[in-house]
Amino acid sequence: MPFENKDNKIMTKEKKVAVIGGGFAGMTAALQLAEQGIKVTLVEKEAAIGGFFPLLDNTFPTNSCGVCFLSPKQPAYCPFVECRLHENLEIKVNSTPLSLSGEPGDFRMTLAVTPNGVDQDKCIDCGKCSAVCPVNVAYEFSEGLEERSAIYKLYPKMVNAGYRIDSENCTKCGACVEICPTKAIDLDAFAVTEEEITADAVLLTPGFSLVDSGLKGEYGFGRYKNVVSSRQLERMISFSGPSLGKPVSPADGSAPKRIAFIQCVGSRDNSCGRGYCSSVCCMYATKQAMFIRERCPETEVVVYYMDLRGMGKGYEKYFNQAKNEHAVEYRRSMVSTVKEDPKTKKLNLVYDSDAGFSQDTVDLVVLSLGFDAPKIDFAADIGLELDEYGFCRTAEFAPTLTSKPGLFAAGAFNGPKDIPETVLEATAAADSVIISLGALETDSNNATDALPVEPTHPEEGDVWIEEPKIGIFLCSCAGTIAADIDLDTLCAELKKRSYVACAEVVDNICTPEGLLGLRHFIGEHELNRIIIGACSVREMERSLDAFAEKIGFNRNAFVVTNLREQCLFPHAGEPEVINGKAKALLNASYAQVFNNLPAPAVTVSVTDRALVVGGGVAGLKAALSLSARGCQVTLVEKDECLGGRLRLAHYTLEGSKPSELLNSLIPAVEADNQIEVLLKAEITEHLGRVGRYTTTVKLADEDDSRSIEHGVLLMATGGQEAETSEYLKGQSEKILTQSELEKQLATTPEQLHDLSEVVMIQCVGSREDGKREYCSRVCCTHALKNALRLKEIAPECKITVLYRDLRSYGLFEDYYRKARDLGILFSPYEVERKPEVTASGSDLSLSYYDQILKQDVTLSPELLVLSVGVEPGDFSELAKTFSLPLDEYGFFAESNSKAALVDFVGEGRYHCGLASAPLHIKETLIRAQAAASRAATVLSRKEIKSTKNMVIVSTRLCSGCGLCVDACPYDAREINLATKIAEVHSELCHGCGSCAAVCPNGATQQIGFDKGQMMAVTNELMR
Amino acid sequence: MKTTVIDLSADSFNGEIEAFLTRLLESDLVGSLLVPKKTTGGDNYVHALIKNPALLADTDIGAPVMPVQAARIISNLTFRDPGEKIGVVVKPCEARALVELAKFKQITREALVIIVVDCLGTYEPKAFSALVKSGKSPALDLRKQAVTGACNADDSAAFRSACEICEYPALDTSVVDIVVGLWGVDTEKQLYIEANDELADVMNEKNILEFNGQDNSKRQEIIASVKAERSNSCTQVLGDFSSKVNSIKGIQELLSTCMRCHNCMINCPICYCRECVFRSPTFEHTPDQYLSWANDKGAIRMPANTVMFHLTRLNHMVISCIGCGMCDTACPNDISVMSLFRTVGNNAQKMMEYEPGRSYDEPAPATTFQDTELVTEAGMSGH
Repeated sequence: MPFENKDNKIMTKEKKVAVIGGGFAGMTAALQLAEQGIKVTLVEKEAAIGGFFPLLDNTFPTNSCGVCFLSPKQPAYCPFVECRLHENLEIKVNSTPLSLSGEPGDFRMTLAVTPNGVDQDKCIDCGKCSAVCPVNVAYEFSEGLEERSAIYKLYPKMVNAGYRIDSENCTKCGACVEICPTKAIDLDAFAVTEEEITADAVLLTPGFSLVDSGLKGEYGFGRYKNVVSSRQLERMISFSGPSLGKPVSPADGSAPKRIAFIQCVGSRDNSCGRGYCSSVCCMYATKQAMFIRERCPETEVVVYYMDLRGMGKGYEKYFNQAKNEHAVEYRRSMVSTVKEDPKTKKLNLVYDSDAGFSQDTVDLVVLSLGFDAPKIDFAADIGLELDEYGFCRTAEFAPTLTSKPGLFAAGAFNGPKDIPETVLEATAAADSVIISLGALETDSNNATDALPVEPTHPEEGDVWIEEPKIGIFLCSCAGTIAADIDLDTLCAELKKRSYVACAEVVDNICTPEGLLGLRHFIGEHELNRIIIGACSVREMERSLDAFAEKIGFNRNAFVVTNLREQCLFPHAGEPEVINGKAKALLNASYAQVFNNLPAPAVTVSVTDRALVVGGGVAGLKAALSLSARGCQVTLVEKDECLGGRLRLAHYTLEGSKPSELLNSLIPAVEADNQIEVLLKAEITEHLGRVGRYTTTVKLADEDDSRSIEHGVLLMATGGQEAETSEYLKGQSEKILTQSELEKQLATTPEQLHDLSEVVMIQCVGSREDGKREYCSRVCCTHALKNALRLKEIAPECKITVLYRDLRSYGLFEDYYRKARDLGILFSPYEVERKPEVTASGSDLSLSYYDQILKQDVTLSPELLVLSVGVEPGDFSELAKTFSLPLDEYGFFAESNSKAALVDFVGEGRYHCGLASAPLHIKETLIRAQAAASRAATVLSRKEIKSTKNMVIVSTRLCSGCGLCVDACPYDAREINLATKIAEVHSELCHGCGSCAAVCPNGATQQIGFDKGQMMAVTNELMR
Repeated sequence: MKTTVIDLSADSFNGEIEAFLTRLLESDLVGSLLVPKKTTGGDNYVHALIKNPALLADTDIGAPVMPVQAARIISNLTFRDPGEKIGVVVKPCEARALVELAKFKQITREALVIIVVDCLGTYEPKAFSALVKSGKSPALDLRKQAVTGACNADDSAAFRSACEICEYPALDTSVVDIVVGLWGVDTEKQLYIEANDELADVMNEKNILEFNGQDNSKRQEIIASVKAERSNSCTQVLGDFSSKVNSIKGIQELLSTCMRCHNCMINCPICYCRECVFRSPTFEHTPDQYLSWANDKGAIRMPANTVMFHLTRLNHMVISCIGCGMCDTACPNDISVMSLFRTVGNNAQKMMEYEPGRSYDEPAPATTFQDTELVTEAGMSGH
C-alpha cells in the first residue's frame, strides 16, 4: 500500500537494499522488504522479472497457478505487477552485476546494462513490432518448440512491456522502428553501459539454470527429435504453449501413445559434476505425468526413477494420486541408453531391472532436467564462499547469511529447492536483512537523519451528495487506441448523456502530463465522477489510487474502462466490433460511476505486541526476530523451561551442535527486555481479530489469569517423535528409535564400540494408508547422520539401512554418497513386503527381501533402529481455543500449500516449526523467521485499512440467515447474537464478494458491485 | 425412537388428542401449543397459539387443509428464542420446511417440540370450506380410509396439486420429536405415536403417555406404497410440465398472466427474507428508466420484471423447495408455479445430492463449495 503510514520502528534513516535476481525468491523478498518501508533495487539480467515462473503451467501439489498468493498481503495481485508498481521498489532489467564491493551499510555494485533496442519506459506493449518483423527463429523459452521474431517478448504471457531485440538475428530492416507508435525502438542502441548502484545490504537471489538438455549424450537429446526436455514438455502441457496443453511427438506432430520420463538427468550424478539432488524433479515430473494422463487418457506414462523424492506433508498423497488415480507407472531403475528406430522414430530404452537389462519402446522420452548453480562473477572478490558446485555456502543455523557480512542469500542459490521452500527462505532472508539494517544503525550510531515526512493529502471531499458531474477521458495511448477507435465520435456521443460535463481525448493518461491534463479538466468543470477509457485497470491501479488521494477524491469516484485489452487486442481487424464494444463498455462505466458509492475508510489500530505460543527453537527464533525489529513479544511455554525438542538433539548431519544454538537463543531471549517469557502457562481464552487480539493465560504459579493484548499470533507449539509398536518396538532393549540411538551416540559412545551388526528401518508407521500418510522428511537424513557417526565409532560395524525411497534431497545427497562409500548398505523394500523381525530370548532376527539379490536375507542385528517419523503435538484443545484449522494429519493448516506455508487463512495469525510440518532444524529456523517476517508486516502498521471493495449490510434487509458467514473464506462475517444481524469485520475483508453473491435479497452489498449498480451496468451492456 | 398407541373409542379421536395435548401443556413439557383450530366461521382451520388448555376444544390436528404454511408462523414465533418450549402440530411438509429454516437461522429448533401428523392429503381452503358447508366431515372421511392407504379426495373436490404428487406423506423422529401415525392405522380404534427416546422417557415419567413399543410394520408398508404411487404421479406430472415448458418462450407463456402480487413469495415457507429484493429500492425504477427500456426494445411488458422475479426467486429457494405447493394455492391466476419450482428443484437437488428437509446437519449447498463442482456440475475442466 503505497500511502500507508509506516511506523518503522527500528530505522530512522531510509535504507536501501539491492536484490540480485528477479525470480521467485527475489520477487518475494523484494516485496516483503518494500512493504516494510525499505527502498529496494531489484536487479534482473533478463528483459523482465519472473525467473522460471512463467514457464510453469500449473504447480504441484495443488495443480493450480497460485502465483497471486505470493505477495505480502494475501491474496493479492500477481507479484509481477506488485513489484512493478510498488513505490519502494525499483526494477532494473537487462542488468548483470559486474562487480560488488564495500561493507555493510556501504555496498557499491557495478551493473552492465545491456540495452536491447527497446526503451522499456516508452514501450506500451502494443505488439505491432513483432507482428511486422520478418525474422523467424527458434524461441529459447520453449527450447525451439516455437518460433519467434527478432523483436520479441521474453515469455508470451507477460503482463507488462518486455520486448527485446535479438541483435544477432535482427536484419535491421527497420520495419519495427517505423511502426512503433511511441518511438521506443532504436536499432543502434546496443552498446553496453555501466551503472553503479549503492546499497546498505545486498540479497542474492540469482536462482538456478536448468542443466543442458544434451548433458547426457546417451539419451539422444538433439539427435532424436522425440527426446524432449522437461522444459519443452512443460511448454507442451501449457495452454499457452504450441500444442495447447497436450504432448506431441516432435518428429511427426502425432499424439504419443507411450511416454517415458527419465529422472535425475544432471542430478545425483558425479560423472557430470553434479552430485546433489535437484529436489524438485520427482514432483514436477509427477505433475506433468498427471496432466498428461488427465488430458490424454489413452497415453501411457512410465517414470524411470532412483528414489521418489517428495518430501513434505502433502507430497506423499500427490504421488499416490498419480499412481492410483492417474495410473502413472513408476519403475525404480536406471536407464542406460535411448536409441531411435530410424523408420518409426520410436525410442528404445535400455534399463536395468529385477530381470537384468530390460527394454521399453516409447513414442516420447522426457528428460527431467536438474538444476545448475548460477554463475556469480564477483564471488571471490567480495569474499563470498561458494560450495564445490557453485551454490552459496551458508551456516546451518543462519541459513540466509553468507560468509560476507551484509550479503544475504536465498532460494535455489543456497541449494536446489522447490517454490514453497524458496518463498519461505526469501521471506526469512528479508527478515535477516531488516534486522541487520537495524543493527547497522545502532552500531554506527548514525541515527540523525529523520525519516522523510509522508506527504499529506487533502481531506476526502464529500462529492457523493452533490449532483453527479461526470467527466469522461479517453486515452489515445500514443495513437494506438486512437488508430482503431474513433475516440472523437465516442466523446461526442457520451457528452449527450445526462450529467456528463465533459468528454475529452487525452494523450497518455498514465503519464504525469496526462494526469495533469485530467486535473485541469476536473477543476475546470468541477467534476465529481470520472470515467477513464484506457488500458487495463491493472496498469493504472496504483497511479490512479495515488492521483485520487492527491486531489482529495475517493478512489471510487474513478472507473476505468479497458479499451485496449478488452476491445483492441481481442478483436484486431474488426473495427466495427472494436468500436461497438468500446461504446457499450463506456456506457456501462457510465452506469457504474453514476451509481457508485464511496469506499469507506475503515481502520483498526494495531496493538504492538506479538504473542508467540511455544518456547522451542521456532518460538525462540521468531520472538527474537520480532524483538530485533522493535516489536514487543510475549512468549508462552507450557513447560517449565525453554528449548522444546531441541534439548533432545545432540548433533546434526552437517555437523552443527544444537546445544550451541540453544545456548545462543535462550540467553538472548531471557536478556531481551522486549520479550516477556511466561513459563508453565496454559492458554484459556482467545478473542479478537487481526491487530487486536486478547488472549488469557493461566500460569501454574499464579492464582489469577493474565490477559494479553496483542496484534498478531504465532503458533510454534512443536511436534514429537512418533511412537510405534511395530517391529517389536518396546519388547527388546536392542530396538531403538533414531533419537534414542542419537542420544547413545552422543552420550555413551563407548558402549557402541563393539557393535558388529546394526539394521535401520525407514518409514516406520509413515507413508501408509491410514497411518501418517505423509513423509516425515527428516528421517532419511537422521538415519544417515546416525549411521555415519556410528561408522566413526565402530568402523567395522556392518550397517544396513532398509528404506523405501532414500530422501537425501538437495545437498544432503553428498552424505548419502559418503555413507555408501564407507560401506553402509542400503537396500530398498516395498511397503507390501516389509522386513520381518522376530526375537528369541534377547537375540533379534530380521529378514527382508533383497531386491538386488532377489532373495530373502536374514540378519541378526545387535541393534535395530527404527525411523519412526514426526507427528504434531495434540493440538485439538489449542485449535479449539484459538479456533484455528488443523490439516488432515493434525498439523496446523496453511492457507496455501505453495506460497503461504506459515499463514493461517486470514491475516494476523501464523504458525511455524514442527507444529506446521516435519522439518529439519535449519528449516525450522527459516520458517520461524518467515513467520516473524509475515507477522511484522502487520505490526509495522499503525492501523489496518479496509479494502476498497468492502461490503456493507442493510440492517433493514438482513434476515440473519448466516449464509454470508458460511460463504466468507476469511472469517470476516459474523452474526451479531444480540441483533441477529450480519456484521462485517472490514479489517479481515478482502473484498472477494462471496457474501454479497450468496445473500438472497441484497442485504449485503459490495461497494462498487451493488445489485442496483450491477443491474444498471448489465442494462447498458444489453442495450 | 420409542412407540406406543392411544386407544380410541368411537368418535373419540379429537377428544383423546385434546387430552394428550392438555397433558403436554399441564406437565410443562411445553409452555404453549400451536395447533390447527376451527375458525370462528366454523368452516375452516387455522393455527392458534394456545396457552389455556380449555381452548384446545375445536382443534383438529389432522384437518386436511393448509391455509397458511405453519413453518412461516413458527419462524415468526422462534426467530429469536421465545424463552419457553412451544409444541407445534404440523404436517410433514411444514416440518420439512422447518428443517430448512433452521439452516437459515430463522427458527430456534431448541425451543420447539415438533409434533408431526401423518398427512392424508389436503384440500384448497375454498374446497374444504365448501365440503364442510355441505355437511361433510372431510377429516373423518379421510381418516377412515387411512388404514388401507387408499385415501381419496371427496367426489366433489380434489386434493391440492402439490399433495397429489407429494412423496412425503409421513416423517420419522430423525427430524421431529413426536409422530402421530395415521397411515395403516385403524383410526376408529387407535392412534399410533412415535417419539424420540429422550422425550419418550420424559413422557413416560410424567404419565403423559406410556411408551410400550408397538409394531410399526403395517404402517411402514402402507407408507411405502403411498410413496411409490405418488412418486409415479410426480414423475408423470413434472414430465408433462417439462415437455410443455421447455424453452424461454415456454417460461414466458407460463408466467404471462403474473400480476406481480408476490403472493407466491409471501406464502412460500422458504422465502425467509425479511424484505424481498424485489420490494426493495433496487427495483424501484424511475419513469425514465421504463421509458428508456421501452425505447431500446420498442415495447416492454408492464408490470416489468415478472419473469426476472420468478427466476430470481427460483434461484434463491429452489434447492430448499420442499414442495408444499403453497405458491399454487396462493396464486390468484392459477399459474402452475409449483410445477416449475418442483421441476427445477428436483434437478438442482439431485445435482447437489441434497434433499431438503432430510437432516439438520446437511449444510445448505450455497454454503459449501468443492473444486470438483466445476467439473462435475458445470462440465468445466477448470481451465
